[in-house]
Amino acid sequence: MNPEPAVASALSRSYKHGFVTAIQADTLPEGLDEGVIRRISDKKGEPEWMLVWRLAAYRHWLGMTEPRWSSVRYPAIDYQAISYYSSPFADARTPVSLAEVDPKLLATYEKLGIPLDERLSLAGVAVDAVFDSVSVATTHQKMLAQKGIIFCSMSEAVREHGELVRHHLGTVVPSGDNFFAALNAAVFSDGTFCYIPPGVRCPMELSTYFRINAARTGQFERTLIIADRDSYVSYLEGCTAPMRDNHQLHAAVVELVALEGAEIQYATVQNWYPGDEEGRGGIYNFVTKRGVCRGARSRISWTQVETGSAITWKYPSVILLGEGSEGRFNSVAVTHHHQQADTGTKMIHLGANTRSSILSKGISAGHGHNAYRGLVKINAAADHARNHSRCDSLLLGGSCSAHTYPYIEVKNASARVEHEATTSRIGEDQLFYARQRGLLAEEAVALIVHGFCAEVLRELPMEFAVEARKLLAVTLEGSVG
Amino acid sequence: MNATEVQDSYVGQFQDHAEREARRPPPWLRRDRAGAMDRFVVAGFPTRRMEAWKYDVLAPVTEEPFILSEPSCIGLDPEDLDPLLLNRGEGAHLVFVNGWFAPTLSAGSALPRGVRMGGMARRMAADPAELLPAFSNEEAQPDHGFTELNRAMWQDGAFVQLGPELDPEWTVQLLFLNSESLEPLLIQPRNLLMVEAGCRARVVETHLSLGRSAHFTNAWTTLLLERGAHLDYQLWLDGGPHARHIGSMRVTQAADSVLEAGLFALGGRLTRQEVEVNLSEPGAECRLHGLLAATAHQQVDFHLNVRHAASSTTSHQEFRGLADGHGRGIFNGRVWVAPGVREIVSGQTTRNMLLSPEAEIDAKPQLEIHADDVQCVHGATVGSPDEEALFYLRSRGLDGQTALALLVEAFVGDVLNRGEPEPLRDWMKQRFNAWRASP
Amino acid sequence: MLNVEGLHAAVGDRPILRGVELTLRPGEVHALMGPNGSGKSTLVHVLAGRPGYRVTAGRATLDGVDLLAMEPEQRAGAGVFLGFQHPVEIPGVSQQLFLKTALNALRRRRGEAELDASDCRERILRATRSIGLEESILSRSVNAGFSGGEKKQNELLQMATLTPRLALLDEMDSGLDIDALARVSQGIQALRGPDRAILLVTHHQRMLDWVVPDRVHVMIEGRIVLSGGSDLARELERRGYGWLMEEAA
Repeated sequence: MNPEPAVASALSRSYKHGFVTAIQADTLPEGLDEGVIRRISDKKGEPEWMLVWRLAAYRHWLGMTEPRWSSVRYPAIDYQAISYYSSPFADARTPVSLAEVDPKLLATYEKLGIPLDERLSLAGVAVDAVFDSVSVATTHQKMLAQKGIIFCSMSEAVREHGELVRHHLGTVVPSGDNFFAALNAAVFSDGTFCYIPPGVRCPMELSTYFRINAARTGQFERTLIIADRDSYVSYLEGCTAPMRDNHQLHAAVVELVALEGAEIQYATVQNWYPGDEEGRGGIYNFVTKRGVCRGARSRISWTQVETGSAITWKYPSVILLGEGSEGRFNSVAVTHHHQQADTGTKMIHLGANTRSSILSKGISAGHGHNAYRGLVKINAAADHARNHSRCDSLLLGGSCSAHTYPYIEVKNASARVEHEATTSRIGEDQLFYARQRGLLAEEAVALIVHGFCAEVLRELPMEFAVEARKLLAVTLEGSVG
Repeated sequence: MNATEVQDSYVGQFQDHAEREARRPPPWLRRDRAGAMDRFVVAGFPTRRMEAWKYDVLAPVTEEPFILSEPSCIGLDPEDLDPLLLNRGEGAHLVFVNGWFAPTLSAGSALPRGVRMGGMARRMAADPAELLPAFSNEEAQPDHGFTELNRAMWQDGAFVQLGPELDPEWTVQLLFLNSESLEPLLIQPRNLLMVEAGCRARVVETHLSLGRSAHFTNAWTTLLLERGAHLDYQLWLDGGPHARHIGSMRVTQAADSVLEAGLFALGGRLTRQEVEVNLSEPGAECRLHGLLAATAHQQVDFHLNVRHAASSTTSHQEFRGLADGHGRGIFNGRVWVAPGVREIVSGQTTRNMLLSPEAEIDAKPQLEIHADDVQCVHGATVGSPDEEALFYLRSRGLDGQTALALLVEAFVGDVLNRGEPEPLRDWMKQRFNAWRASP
Repeated sequence: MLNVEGLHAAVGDRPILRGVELTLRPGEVHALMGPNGSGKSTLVHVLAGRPGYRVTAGRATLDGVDLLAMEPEQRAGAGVFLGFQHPVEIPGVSQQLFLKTALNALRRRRGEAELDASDCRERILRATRSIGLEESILSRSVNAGFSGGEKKQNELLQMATLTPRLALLDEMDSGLDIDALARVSQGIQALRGPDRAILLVTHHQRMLDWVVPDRVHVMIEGRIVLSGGSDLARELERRGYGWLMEEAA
């Protein structure tokens, strides 16, 4: 008996967030030039320095070429066919209270399971809701402000906390870092800003929910999180988009700064529209995420569950500068149908006694293409640095592919770096064992895949671990076969 | 000189070479050479912007000019070669001086039936038609500037054909010996080894140097294993601290053939050895092991590419890297599994040791899997000698240096002790120790 | 309850079962013995529907329903339980989750309402205690890192939870020390019931000291060549299989 028919039905996907919100939008015409950047900056009421910074990034970007070194393949993107700004609000001003927000928007978030009314919201989670190019609402701000925590949209931060933003923006991901980061620096529209003051342990999970709604727009958000000395924050982002036949670009930048003794846990459950079974449509998710452990004993962890997007291209990284600092990367990436993912991390050890760990679980099904690409770099000054990496790939079906590209560069003899990787298909004996106990083949696949990812899922806050597990199961629907 | 000027100098030498070629080459060979030269002119030398070359500092071969070597008489007696020869038993050795076959230095017991060997230039002159299939093998075409350069201007090399009735103990040594000369030479051997169906054979290829020559060997080797052939092949690159060596070896394995290969590189200003193994029919298996070692300002790079193009193929790789001084070791091991093949088993381990603060190791194991019926694993480690073990040995009375030497010996022993037969093993250990002891 | 008639099966082109005849009635325990490679394990795997085995002739029915036409999970739903000689590890999946998923999958199949989390937990806990296992085994991954004895007891825990009509227990006594053998045997004995039939595949007679079978069958070269009462097992222990193999030849 061939388990494959069952794997097929376990993978025929149903994307649950593919609806469109019919709403009047203030959308800039397609195309990109300095005028567009000036208008974005103007709409947001930005100070002059911000516009100057954007324009410098844009001029730099004009001289750059799109990277081609990764293993993902896609037709050329026409950057003049994208609208770089779309807001559900007539004027650029963010509504002061939910009462001012179009009920259709609130209904949208409710439908996505993210109610913005604080009384209804998930216990212990504060949300910044970003809709296309702007932040719709940010919950629990007042309560957080009592502890000195700033949690707001990036637009608000640029206006209200200009000096803090200016001091850190672009220090982790410089505006000319790479093609997509430069584009983001030029046109970024919104995103989330967090500042945790010294010694404060953030009492809630902070989160941003990104929603792309408008057609033919790109989303270019920018997130900056600063954890001051001995502070702690756990942050989570989620993302969805409507089902459309054409591809949409999402090029975000996330910068994390951890000062002495601080800890940032950053988790992503990425469920952008992945395209249909034939590979039509879906989001191009080209994202630059990087954190710097600037202070001694600081810690940054990235945990990601990547189930969506037509193409995922991201390498959440940690620069380990502070002595004794620690970076971690935990990842589950699933590709099904014609999805492609080239994802992994960079752990750059600059300081002494720095440690990093990498745990990557890749799952390929259908015609999915999944690549782990990771760099572990131990610089000459990083005495006694340690890294351990483990990358496992699971193959469901004979038409998918799984690649593993670790780069290990060691310039310090006291370092210890260990990397191990495996690639195999789902165990037939495991499938039979589970089916003998009465599980349908697709249930068996979902369960075994869940087990394969369990170590990573454990790193997520509980509510999101449950969500991630469901997403995995849904993503793999119809993979048996 | 910059790379473009060096490239231009080769274009000039190519024209001289084409005019001077003594025996009239067959038209296909002339076309072959000219085509390769055209592609070399277009492609140029590889650069670090290319993924496959990102860790290589190529200046020692691309920014210094080398003069195409000429056959030369170095006034050696066959006895002078004794320390460099491995054969104590049955077998033969072919000696190449600066890339040219030296019949007077080569010797061996009477060739067994079905065995043919000699210099490639003579073979080409005698029977070019016979070489055409191997030279036009689709799986062994150049893919970068250096292989094109060899194809355009190779001069001589080893031709070895091993027949089915060979005694497995009968060993062939290919000794590539570089001599001192006024100018740094470009030495371009083109080697062809064919192991016929069902044959069990043993070949040892050694690259050694007399004196302190800084020649550039740009070698290209084609290895064909027919159905059921079993080849034990050892490659020993040990041309001294100034040697430049870029070697490309393409292996094609037919059904049920087995390649057991040891690859060893001890230093060199720049040593890069590529090995591509095509497991092109079911049942083919390759087991590769080896050591790359670099000290002073040496740079050693192994670039392996195992291609599982057929079902039921197996590969194993076990490598060690050692970097001391300002030395740099680079390991790039790729395993590729073709779409649609089944029952693939592949394992790869690379362990690397850094012995000085200025040394560097770059390791890049890669798995590219396009089929699902596979079991592939790889593991890579980089570290220094185990401090606990060092302390343990010192607590037993060994001084620090001896303790370290012991740990290094154990570390390389995993791969150095695999050589067969025993005299080869001893010879290897001796050469390794000499290399460790050299300043 | 179980009727096997003229069953032939092969792995690839190699025939293993060459005409097995076997009948089990509710409440009965039968032991299936025989030398290595005689086809005992193949028989239970074929009955459970393991991929890779090809039935070339014959029938096997459970309560008159054709087993051989069903997928493995349908057979499980019909009440077939296979206790594995080498229980499979499923890393990362807790026993609790696995048993809950299996239990509800079977209930759905039987048209029964799914149990909620606390009812599930209650049933699983009861089963765990009945087998004499610690509750902590439920939070461990399925079979991962279990000792040989734990793996076998765990199979019984699953059987106790899933309450099958027909249990095919494949060499539950292999690789166990004497204490573990006693625990496993007592577990099996406790799982006997008037509505349940059990087929014990075993090499050795020692388990049958605890679990006294109603019938003993000897399989040689893919056929049951001799059947008898529980005394037969002791005779085999004394005389070996050699005399039977000669007769079979």
